[in-house]
Amino acid sequence: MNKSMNMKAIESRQKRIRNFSIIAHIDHGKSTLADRILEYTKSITAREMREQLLDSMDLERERGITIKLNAVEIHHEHTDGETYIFHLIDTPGHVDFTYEVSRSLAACEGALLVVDAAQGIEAQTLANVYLALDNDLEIIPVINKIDLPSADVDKVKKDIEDIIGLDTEDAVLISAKEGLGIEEVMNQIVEKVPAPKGDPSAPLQALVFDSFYDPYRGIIPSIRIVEGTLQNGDIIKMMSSGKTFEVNEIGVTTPKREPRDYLGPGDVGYLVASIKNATDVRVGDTITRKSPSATAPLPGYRKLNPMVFCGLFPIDSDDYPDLREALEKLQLNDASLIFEPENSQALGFGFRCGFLGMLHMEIMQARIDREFDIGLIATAPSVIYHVHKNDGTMIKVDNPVNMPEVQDIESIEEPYVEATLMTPKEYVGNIMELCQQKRGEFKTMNYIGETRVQVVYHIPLLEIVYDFFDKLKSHSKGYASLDYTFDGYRESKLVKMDILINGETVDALSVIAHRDFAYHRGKAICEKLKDLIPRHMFEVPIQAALSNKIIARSTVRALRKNVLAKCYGGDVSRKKKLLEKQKEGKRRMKSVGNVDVPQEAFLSVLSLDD
Amino acid sequence: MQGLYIHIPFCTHICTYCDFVKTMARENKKRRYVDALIKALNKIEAQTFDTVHIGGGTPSCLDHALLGRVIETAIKVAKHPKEVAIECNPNDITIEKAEMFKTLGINRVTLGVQTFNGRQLKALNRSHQSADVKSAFSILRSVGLDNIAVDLIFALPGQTLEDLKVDLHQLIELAPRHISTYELIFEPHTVLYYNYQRGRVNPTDQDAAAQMYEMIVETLTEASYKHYEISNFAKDDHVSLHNLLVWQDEDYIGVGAGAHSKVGNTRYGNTRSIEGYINAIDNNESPRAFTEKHEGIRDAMIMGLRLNEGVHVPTLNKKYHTNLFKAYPAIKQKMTEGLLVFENNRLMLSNRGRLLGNLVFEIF
Repeated sequence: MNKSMNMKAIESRQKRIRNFSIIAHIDHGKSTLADRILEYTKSITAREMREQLLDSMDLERERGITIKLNAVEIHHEHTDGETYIFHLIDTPGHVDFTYEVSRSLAACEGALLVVDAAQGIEAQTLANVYLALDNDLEIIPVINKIDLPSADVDKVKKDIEDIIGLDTEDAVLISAKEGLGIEEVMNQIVEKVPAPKGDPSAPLQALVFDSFYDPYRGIIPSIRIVEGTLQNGDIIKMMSSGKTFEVNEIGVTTPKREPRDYLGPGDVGYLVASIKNATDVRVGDTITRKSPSATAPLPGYRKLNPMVFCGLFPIDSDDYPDLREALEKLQLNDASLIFEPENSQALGFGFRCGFLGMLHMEIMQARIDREFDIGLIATAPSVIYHVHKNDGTMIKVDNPVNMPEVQDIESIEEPYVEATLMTPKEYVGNIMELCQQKRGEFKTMNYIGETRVQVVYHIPLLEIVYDFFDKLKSHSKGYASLDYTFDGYRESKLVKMDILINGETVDALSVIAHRDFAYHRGKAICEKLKDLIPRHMFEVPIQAALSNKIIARSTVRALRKNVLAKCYGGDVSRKKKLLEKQKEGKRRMKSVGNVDVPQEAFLSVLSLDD
Repeated sequence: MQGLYIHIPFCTHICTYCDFVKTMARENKKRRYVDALIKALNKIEAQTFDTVHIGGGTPSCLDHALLGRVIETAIKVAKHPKEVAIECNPNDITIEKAEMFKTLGINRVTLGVQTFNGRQLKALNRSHQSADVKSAFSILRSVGLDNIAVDLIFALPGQTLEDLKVDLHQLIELAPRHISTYELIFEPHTVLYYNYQRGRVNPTDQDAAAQMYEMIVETLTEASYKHYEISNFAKDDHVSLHNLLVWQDEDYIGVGAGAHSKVGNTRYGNTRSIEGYINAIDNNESPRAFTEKHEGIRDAMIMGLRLNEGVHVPTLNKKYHTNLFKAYPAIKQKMTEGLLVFENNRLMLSNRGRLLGNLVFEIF
């Protein structure tokens, strides 16, 4: 240990550290409260705050969700005259990122549970509260939006007590929007959230709860020091892989990166160690010093496995190298994204990609489109099937194209999830009907307070990755929420369904479906494709087939008329604009044989109107 | 060849489908606009024009004196034009107006008939009734204005093939010298589009529209009208000279709000704002809203192929120093697909190609 390190100072600092995160459902006011806390402590100026918000991805703001934000160090002068060090550790707010949430929470001693006074508790909130309780966090209930006319503070308090069992006597009533109650929030953080434990002289144990990519400095892990200290020049070791790196810089985020000489127990910050490969920095991993090394890693690390797969193909095949580069860059920031080259007869060269869930997949697709400007065709998402063959072997299939021939298959297993749904009671009938339609198996139902119901189903993940979210929202006017966890594999009667366009099988359109639903789904896909594929100069038949047996068909009739038969006078530019629009539309299509197929067609197996 | 177009953006009614520059204006505004037009016309440098086309809007809704000034000035500026055409609403044709037209030198009148079906006329918010059309024909002919052209619209909401047949036969009986048949298009910023967005009205199915188009071609050809452009038919070569020169890649100058021009390698369009136009002219400023390059061969092909006779390839090659077939190899593909025909050095749309013109135009 470096002599310049003052153990007394480290211990004094440790006592004044409060690490917490905010648990809230989408729209319940997490970001607004975070902004108010930052403002209250004058941590950053309004201008810096705006910039930080601008820096965060557009997608987050559009979707009203947080994907990731830096852990911010805040200084708060408390009424006792001491200056406390707050680390606000942000958590992603979506079911796809449950594991990441759990690691962020593991870096905290406390959490603010923010509940909308007019809405009550939602499924995701509940899931995250349970994660927080699992991590022994001190939870401070905060009831937000008390200024709304529809606010019902007593009911929300009762919900919190009944469902979670938290005492709400000291619940803080706030309006983050109006800035009401923020001081009380600060006081309770100081008084209720315990100071971090941890021995500065123990061997280093630092939890990786996030990471960022910097083009000049490599992968930068966000860390929480649990035991020991870390300083510049240390040789660190990743406990999951044993890989070692030399630390060039350590520091905290304010939200700018501010270098420090050392970090002690309870400190939340970053380290720079010229880490090139995103897979070397796994969220949940423990960093220790090469020597002396900790004897065991921190509990809870798990390698994240993608659950949902799809093929991504550039519309313009010349963009293939750019797509590879885009995926590599995205992976630097996000080790949970995996990809490998895939070759489709219909779509040419592309990549088979694995994601944590549907939202993760959508976000990645949108980022490739926006940040790298590559036109993409995404195939329908798939899950990993366990296919038991007649010869006694088992293979994992994440792409319908690789499904073995029917005669070679003994049985197929598919992943199931335990889905927890919360809904106002008037929609419970709709939601149960939806779950039945989706091959769900009813487990339990509980009333939460007088108006809300929690329903648990076991549902094939395949059904969730199709249109479940959209359907759930439309069946509940947007009020129902969902959380799910993996629940093992089960045997199912699954079949591969091929789609033929103009007599040719289009591999990228093949899907796995449950035998009992295949006919219905095949028919719906044919109908949908009929509407999506533009009319050509010739008739285009569309067929759905189960091992060469046609089970459904539709026809795109031949185009008869496409001409400007309107009086435009001398307005030639107008005519040309119409033609440009037509051409642009064609550019966004993929030629399959001699048929132009639009992007959307490849996702047509999703969101079918039943 | 060179044409002169004058835009009169005034109407007494606003038709539900119209997206041209138009307004229902007070007399004072019309007078200020006509003053501006005349100033703009007189500014056109010493040139001659083969055609004068007064369009709108509804030119015939201007009062006698204002309209007279526009016609007189236009003819004076054009210096002995071969064709002087004006667009009129059938119910605006009075014996006085017709006589003025004849006296001042109008030699072609285009009537916006659109349909003879009373219910459809009402749905389009046209101001005339079908009886007005017959009356307009006899008035115009009584003063010796025989060169009457008619605009017809098809694919009207709810229109059947039978309805269209009735329209065509009524029209043929009146024996206009020229017929333009335009498909009803649901354009944004129109009442029709507004109603469409609210689900109150739907465009005609494109297959039905194709059938209607084929029936129009067949019926009018049988009645000895020559089909000479995608939407245009003429008896005894009474083609629209003005439109012909637009299709044939010749120059034209447009005067008035929203009017377009093509001069050599430049295309430009005036502001669509009537007040903006008046102010620009009053202040001796340019009323142009945009200027763009005439895309030589591309524009020539998109326009020229609209004519049944197509384009004369050697002439085009010479004019644009090119080899059309080499510059656009896709032409061959379109010929294989049966959309284009090459005969006697002319490249033209086939019958099927005329219905699928956009698939050909887009290769240029």
